[in-house]
Amino acid sequence: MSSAAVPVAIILGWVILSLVIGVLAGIKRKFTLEGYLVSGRSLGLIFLYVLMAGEIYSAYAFLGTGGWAYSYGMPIMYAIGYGALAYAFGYFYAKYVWKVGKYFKCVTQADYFHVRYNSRALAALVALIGIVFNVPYLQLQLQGLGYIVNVGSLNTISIKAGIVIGMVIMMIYVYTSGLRGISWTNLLQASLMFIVAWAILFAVPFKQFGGVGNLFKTLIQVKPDHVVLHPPLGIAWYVSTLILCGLGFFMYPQMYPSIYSARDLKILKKNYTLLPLYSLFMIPVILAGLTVAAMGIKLGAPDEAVLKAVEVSYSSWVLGIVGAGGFAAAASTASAIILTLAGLLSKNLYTIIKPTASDKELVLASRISVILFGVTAMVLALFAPGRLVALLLLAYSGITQMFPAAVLGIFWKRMNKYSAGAGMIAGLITVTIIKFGLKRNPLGIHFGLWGLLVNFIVTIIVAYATKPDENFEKFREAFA
Amino acid sequence: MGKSQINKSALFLGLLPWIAYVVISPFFNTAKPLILGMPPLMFWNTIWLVITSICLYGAYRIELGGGLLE
Repeated sequence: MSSAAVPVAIILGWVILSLVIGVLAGIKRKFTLEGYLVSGRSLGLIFLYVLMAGEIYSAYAFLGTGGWAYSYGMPIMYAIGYGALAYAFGYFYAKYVWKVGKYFKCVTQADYFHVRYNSRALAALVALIGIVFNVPYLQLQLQGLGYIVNVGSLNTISIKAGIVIGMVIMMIYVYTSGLRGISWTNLLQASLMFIVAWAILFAVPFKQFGGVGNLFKTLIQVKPDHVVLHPPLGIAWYVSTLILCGLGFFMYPQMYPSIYSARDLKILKKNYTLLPLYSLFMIPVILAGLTVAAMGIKLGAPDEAVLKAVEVSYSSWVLGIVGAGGFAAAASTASAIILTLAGLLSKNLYTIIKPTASDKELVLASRISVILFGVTAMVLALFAPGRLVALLLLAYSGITQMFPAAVLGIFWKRMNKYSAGAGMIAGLITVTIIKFGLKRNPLGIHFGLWGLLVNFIVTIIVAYATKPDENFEKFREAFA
Repeated sequence: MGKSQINKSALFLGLLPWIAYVVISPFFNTAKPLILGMPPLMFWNTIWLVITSICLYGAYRIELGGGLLE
């Protein structure tokens, strides 16, 4: 038996288990659109929690976080902070989204904008922004999946084979079982991610340096910059990134179906009180990345840091668990994004062409869209890795531009479709110009936050220059 | 407590993590002393994940007691 047999068996066993659970969760059900996209608003605390934890923390919570810790050190603390900020914001914001969703039967993010602003065009714009910025993200997840599975299987499963296997498995269970399938498989994935971080990665600094304290004592000597924030990733960058990411988090379209899927408000809110504890798992990931840096290991690419940490600390079969963990992290995020984008395409874009589409027809359109996005992301990951990097660099800043329309709209009658749309577009133009024209962050402040500033100013000016929204009272009925 | 008072107390608890990270954490940007083996900023950011949970749970209890989650 070759040394790769055990890790390969672990990875494939895990992938097949995910497929079986995901398919069984929904195969015998006849789904309505609400059942398919938001699990009939029926999820209890455990399934809601693992659904969100799994979808929020992706393959790059391991690869990127570890890589940043390895390359820069303390600036990665922004990633620890913004999660807490986002959950503290979401604890209050999600209530409105959930109530609107229940009252107006929303199933997508664009639906929320549609019922607030009574504008199909604005909903289409929101859907397009979500799709444009998330397809590259999907592609990135698949590339990460392929890479981790490749290393985890000791190069037995090629990167391309990993990408294809991963995507096909996801497409099958998302197609058959919708959000219900994702919440069931995420019970597996979120648990495995937690185990990989706490049982495997957390021990790395102890194995190499005898403890966390010794790790940092070594790091201070060999890489003194790594233990503090330092320009260009200095304090201005750190604080502005915290604010941008803390606010922008809930503008990602995949947040909305999972909020709608909560059974009641108590479950939804309790879920947000518990999510900060899940994100503690990034601490072991960061420690693993820092360990590799303190050991003075040179990596081909920073993203290799976490896998290198495991490689130098454990016998090779442990890499199999990490490989399965890579699938877990990527699949739990990518499957939720695929379903979200499919919902946007069928419910908010397809209905423009065919407004009379029945519920049954929209379920079918969503399922076809799942395949469409899955295949698109797979082809991009296989044949054009890195091609959409520009979109990825803009993604967080771009998505965040929906913030004024989403949040001011809840309380402010003057907000209408014109101010919402103008603000979003002005913000998008601003971030694009700064990122690709200016190519640096003015005053060291994250360019996305500059976009948000311009966005707010334009939104408020247009809101005062146009008539208050007649649809506002109707929208507020959701909170009565 | 009235309804608006409940809302204010809950919001205040939700604001604490923002103050802890955005306003206070930059002051911990030094290499030493190591706290529980970690640089001060890392210690502060980590411990506040736990405190954030506690704050939000506090907000939850207040809102629940005030009947705002029905």
